[in-house]
Amino acid sequence: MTMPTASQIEAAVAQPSYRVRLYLGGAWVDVSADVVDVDGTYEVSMGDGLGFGLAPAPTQRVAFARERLGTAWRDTPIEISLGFNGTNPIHFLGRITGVREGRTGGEWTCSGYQDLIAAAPEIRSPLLYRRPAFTATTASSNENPDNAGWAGGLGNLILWRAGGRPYEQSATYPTALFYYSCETSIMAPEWTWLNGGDAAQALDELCRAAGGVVYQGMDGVIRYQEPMTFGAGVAAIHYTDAMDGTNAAIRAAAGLAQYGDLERSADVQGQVVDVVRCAYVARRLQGVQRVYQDTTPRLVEAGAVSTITLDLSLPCYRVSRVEAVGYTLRSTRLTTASEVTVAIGTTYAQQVTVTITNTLSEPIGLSELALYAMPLVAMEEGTATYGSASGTPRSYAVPDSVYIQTASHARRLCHMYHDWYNTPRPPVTLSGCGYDPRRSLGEIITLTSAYPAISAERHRVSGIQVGRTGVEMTLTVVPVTGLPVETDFFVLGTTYSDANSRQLTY
Amino acid sequence: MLHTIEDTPNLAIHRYPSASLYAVVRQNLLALDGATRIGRSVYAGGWGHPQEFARQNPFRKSWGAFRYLPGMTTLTWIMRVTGRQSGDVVRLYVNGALVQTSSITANGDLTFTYTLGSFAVNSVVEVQWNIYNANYTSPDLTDGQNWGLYEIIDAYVSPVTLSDAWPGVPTFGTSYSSSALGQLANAVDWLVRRVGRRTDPLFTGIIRRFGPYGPTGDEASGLLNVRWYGAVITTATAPILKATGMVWCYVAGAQEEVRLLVNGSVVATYTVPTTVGRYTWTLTYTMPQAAGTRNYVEVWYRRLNNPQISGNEVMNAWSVVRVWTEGSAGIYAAPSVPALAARTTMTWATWKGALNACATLANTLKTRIDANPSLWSEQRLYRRSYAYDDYQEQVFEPNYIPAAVPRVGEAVLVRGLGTRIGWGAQVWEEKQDSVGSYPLNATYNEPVNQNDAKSTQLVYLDTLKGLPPGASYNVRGGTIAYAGEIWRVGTDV
Repeated sequence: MTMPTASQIEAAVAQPSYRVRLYLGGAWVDVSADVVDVDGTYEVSMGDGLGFGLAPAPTQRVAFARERLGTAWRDTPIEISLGFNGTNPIHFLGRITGVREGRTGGEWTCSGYQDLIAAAPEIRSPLLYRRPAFTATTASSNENPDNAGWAGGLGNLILWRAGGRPYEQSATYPTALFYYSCETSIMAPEWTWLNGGDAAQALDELCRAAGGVVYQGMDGVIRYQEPMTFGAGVAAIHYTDAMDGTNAAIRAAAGLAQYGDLERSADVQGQVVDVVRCAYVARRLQGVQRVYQDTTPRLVEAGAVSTITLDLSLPCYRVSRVEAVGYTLRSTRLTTASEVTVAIGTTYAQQVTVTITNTLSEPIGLSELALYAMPLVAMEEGTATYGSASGTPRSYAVPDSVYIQTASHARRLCHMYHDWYNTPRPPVTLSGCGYDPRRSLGEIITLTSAYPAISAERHRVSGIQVGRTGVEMTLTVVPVTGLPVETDFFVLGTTYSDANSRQLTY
Repeated sequence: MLHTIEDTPNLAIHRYPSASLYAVVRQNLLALDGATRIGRSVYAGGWGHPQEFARQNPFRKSWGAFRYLPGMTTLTWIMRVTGRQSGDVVRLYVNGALVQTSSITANGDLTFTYTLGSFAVNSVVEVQWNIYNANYTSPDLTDGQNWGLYEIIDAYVSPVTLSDAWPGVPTFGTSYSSSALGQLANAVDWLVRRVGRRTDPLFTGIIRRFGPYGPTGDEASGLLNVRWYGAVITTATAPILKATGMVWCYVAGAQEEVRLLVNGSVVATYTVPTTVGRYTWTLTYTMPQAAGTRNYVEVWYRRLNNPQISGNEVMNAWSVVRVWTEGSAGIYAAPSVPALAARTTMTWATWKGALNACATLANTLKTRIDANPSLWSEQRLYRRSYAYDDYQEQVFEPNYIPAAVPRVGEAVLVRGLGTRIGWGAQVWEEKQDSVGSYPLNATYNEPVNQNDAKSTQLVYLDTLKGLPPGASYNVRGGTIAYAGEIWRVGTDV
């Protein structure tokens, strides 16, 4: 038996290290000394690795030896950094959402910002016409919906109203609840709007109607990625089982990485389709008409201002006017427009705030309020399809969305979903990997396996699971060969010569 | 037809070009190419003898209405005058108020204009022309007092335009620029709105009319009361004049014919069969006149030699369903813009070429619109059926029915009282009404204007099951002040 060499024995071995901090009393406090264990999961999509929608929030479990927070654990910001030899890149930013404590210690359950977005107070928007579902965030993009000239997407509005601020402008917003970064979606629905409800569900619906995914990255940033970038990029590293006696230095120099075990699974029912169907409901703007009428008796004291919120049954564009019918209570006559003034305040698609000012020296009663605007009404319904229905086709129905409003939009979605799901793309689980803090969600890697036979095929990292406080890692990757990528297409703002070849997208 | 296309997408906001959105742009341009080849119905000047029932002073010469759109400034009408009498004037009434009195200074085709005031957008403005002579007794003429012959052969409002200017078309070179894409999308959108703004009054032809009893002999000369007349301007895109109607032969052996006349000359003739039965006739004539020429059009029904009953010559029944213009190839045009597929590799030359073809076609359509103002910049008035009071209007209603043959537009704007839209199979009732007409009823009917007073109502035709574009429909009822078809009901965003 050959003995290891002195060099091998004496070679420095990188030691896993970590840091856990809690945001307490306005500052980050290092609690690493009390942490026993950290593990958790990141996902960029919904199980199949390529789906469109809002990815589940990353979750982390932190086992600690000494109680630190008492009853103040709820929504406490937490930062987890995992690395080697004291160099610890941030691995997770989120909030503590649950706690279990005992006499010998306890455990925090931590979650990403998706739950925070879902719990955001009622988010409302105006009726937006032909806006991409998401617009690109930059160092100078106008992201505040209250600013003049704001032209962002509904997705951007939701993220802003939920407390997020653009990551590219983090220096301007150092105390943001979270940061977000978006690419421009490839589809722009005719009309988009939000009238309260679950904001996270709205993000999910937007992604399914425009393609793309919203997920939380390892750096805590909520990101929107458009579909044409799913399979794009240079492979960062090559995971392979063909090591054959190579040592760490050789692997590192060659851009290789090891994995312990590999498992590939596929569900034909859910992952391979022949025909895609997509329903749409056309919506058409109508002329100015009465969209709200309220005969609730209201009292406005002398000289007083009354603010009334009107909830509309249909989304409306361009509020024209509000008519108020009032009468004086003492002299019992109808009021004039100068005696009772009406002003339109904050206006959303389905909610308008109206301010009534009684300029008289006696109280008045309001007998009727009517609002005139241009409503958006549903028109004809239809269904688009794409794919071959011969033989025994498996079909997939794109989830219904209020944001799919034209036949062309529905056709585009059908074609795109067909490209995504007509070719089998079984996710691959690489277990027993050494933790690598450089790996990130959405990254492209290449994969080689003797069995099942995979030869340097491009895959997208769709899930990262870390255990034992940053010692081991399991990656979920999904093949992206054949997916359309941005370099396949003509791109706006680019100069071409006649012989250049590209494609048109959906 | 035009209302079924999708709104033109904004190509400039998409990082990658979309084959589906390009297909919408292409589809819209091809639909516009066909739509801008559609001619129009000839303005219905009137029926019968120009001075029938005209013993009153003043007497109603003609009446009608139009749909007001922003930008309209002028009402223009052309009156053909023969044998004018000294002191004759024409009075113009707008929405019931006398707004202008014009002297009739000569014989011939006289053009009059009136500057419109401001009206509510999409409102129906009613118009009436009366002839009056202060030298005559009123309300009825006495012996020795005679009118000249007056025919309002054309009436329209103008201009029909958009508030925003034509954005022009780009040229794609080496740069795939958002500004060029945006300009192309704006141009197509502008054309859709511009063409969609067209409003065509329903054609009030003579759906069913009995000929009178009269003396034997050829009535080829002289003024007939079995006559329809109007006027149309020659256009480059629609130079073919057509007239269609039906005849009902009750009397075997009757020798009759239908004649189409243009500017006083017979240009086409239909010989009515001599065997009993119902026949459809169509007369066609390619107008050689230069574009922009106004042509006087008549349809005559002539008796050549008919059998007699009790000393009276019996005429068959006849109708004029429609008189209109169209292009030589109808509205079909071979596609000049290529179809492109998604996810198919192509060169920049191909993609650029397709975009430039779109731009070229858009510019061609704009040029075509500008070259045919009588089709696109003038809205003809709806010609209300003849009657000198509301009672008479209801009595004669079965003889004069406004109809769209075929349907082109998205909606019909109707102003009237107790009206209805009828479509589907037309059924003749077996029993004659009080004026000797066999009432014509449609299989399907939709009540309109059911208030106590005259009202204006917009009916979206897609809500009427079984009435797709290309099918025919009519408007019936006691009082129809206006019936006009709107190509595309737009709401600016």
